[in-house]
Amino acid sequence: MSSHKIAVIGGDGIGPEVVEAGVKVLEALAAVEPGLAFDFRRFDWGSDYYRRNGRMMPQDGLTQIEGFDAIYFGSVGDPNLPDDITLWGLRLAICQGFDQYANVRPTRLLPGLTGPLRPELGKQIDWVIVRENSEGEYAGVGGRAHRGLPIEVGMDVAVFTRTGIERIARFACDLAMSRPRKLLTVVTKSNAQRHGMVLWDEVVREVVRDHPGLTVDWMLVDAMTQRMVNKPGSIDTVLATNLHADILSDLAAALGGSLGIGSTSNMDPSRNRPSMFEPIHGSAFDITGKGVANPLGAFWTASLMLDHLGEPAAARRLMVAIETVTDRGEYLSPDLGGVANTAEVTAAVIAALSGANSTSSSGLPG
Amino acid sequence: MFGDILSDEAAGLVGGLGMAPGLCIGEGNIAMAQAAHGSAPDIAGKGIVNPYAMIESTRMLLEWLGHNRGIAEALAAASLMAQATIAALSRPETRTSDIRGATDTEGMTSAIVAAIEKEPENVLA
Repeated sequence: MSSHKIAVIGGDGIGPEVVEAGVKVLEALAAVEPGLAFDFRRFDWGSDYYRRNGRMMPQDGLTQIEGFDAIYFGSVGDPNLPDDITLWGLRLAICQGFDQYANVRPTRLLPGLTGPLRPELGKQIDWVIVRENSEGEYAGVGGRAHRGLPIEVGMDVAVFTRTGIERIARFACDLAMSRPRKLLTVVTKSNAQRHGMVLWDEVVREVVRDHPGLTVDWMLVDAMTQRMVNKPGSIDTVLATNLHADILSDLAAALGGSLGIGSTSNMDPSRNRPSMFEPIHGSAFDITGKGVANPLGAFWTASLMLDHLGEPAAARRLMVAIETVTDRGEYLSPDLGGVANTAEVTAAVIAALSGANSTSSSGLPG
Repeated sequence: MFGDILSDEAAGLVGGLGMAPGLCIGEGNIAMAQAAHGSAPDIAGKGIVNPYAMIESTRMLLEWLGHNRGIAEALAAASLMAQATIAALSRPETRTSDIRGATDTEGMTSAIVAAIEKEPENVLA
């Protein structure tokens, strides 16, 4: 059997706690799934590393992890360090260094959980948001002049390239085609942003033409927020720019009741370099070290990673185990209204992993 | 841009774009009342559009006139419009179908006008 080489970067705050819980779950999964094996290697990069070494990761950090099959990432951010150091020094350094140009975030209201929408609307949520992850409004191009003077100015230039748009559009079309509804909503703002977004529209339209089986509709980003709130069932796969999707995916997480359990992948679809998988919650310093962090986000993340590693059966089995635990509601962490700690939620998911196995093999009530 | 996105989301949370009024104000002496919704070609000509956003934009314009130019009557009129609009919104028979009502543009507008006219002292007179 071949074993998947995983670089484990816990990062800051609760990151290491939830990621270690995820490693335990993946090991338990490997014990019951024939042919599944992992080779985990830990990297202690992050804010503590920065305090010791003056950088978030070693100079040759990317070289150290480029041979891995995937990166399992916790979270980054420290109350005593500026966000631009922690974010740009580690997470974005990996995303951009490995050209992980597709950020993919699934949103679903898991069984047993409630979101802020009326229940009949909330249960319609089954979305995947594809975010352009390499350019656009977050390209880092711009500058400041006349510092400290009345005429001081600050500018950010949004960068849209034909190549960048085309590759993310292809990825989104393929992803939408792989889902039952074959429905893609393209988010734009070309009525107000009349250059980059118009190019975005033109190039996406060309790519869409190569996918005749796909239903495509277009939304202005502002109107999209309304549709997500009022007609969640009319949405399936969503393609949006770096900034637009950043905003929409947080709204999605809130509507899906999953700010604490949502998960995201930063992918290099060419597979030349490893992709990175992470829960969407932050480092949560207020509960760090208390052992009460909700590990379900890290588990959902692990399921996405399994899919990417070509292990769809294991990915599905893990997702079923997570949903079994949320549906029963017996072992939920405080953020989901329960009283279980990280270790108890982890044990419940591990138990559900083998439980799912015995149910499917016997089909008899236990 | 963020205001654009968030204001639409806010409209979504309170019942849709038909519920989103707007007022464009600058340094100058002129303001522009404008509903946040677009031209909505899918329902244009059907007489079913929710007039709330436009009527409420007008009320905001009156209020702005009242404060900006010290016109007490404009403030009183704005307050009267607010009462009349709330009265129409509170009953399904006098609000449009996008906000779970049973009437059309004409019906909701007439209900608001009727509520204004019912006031014993018409401030605009």
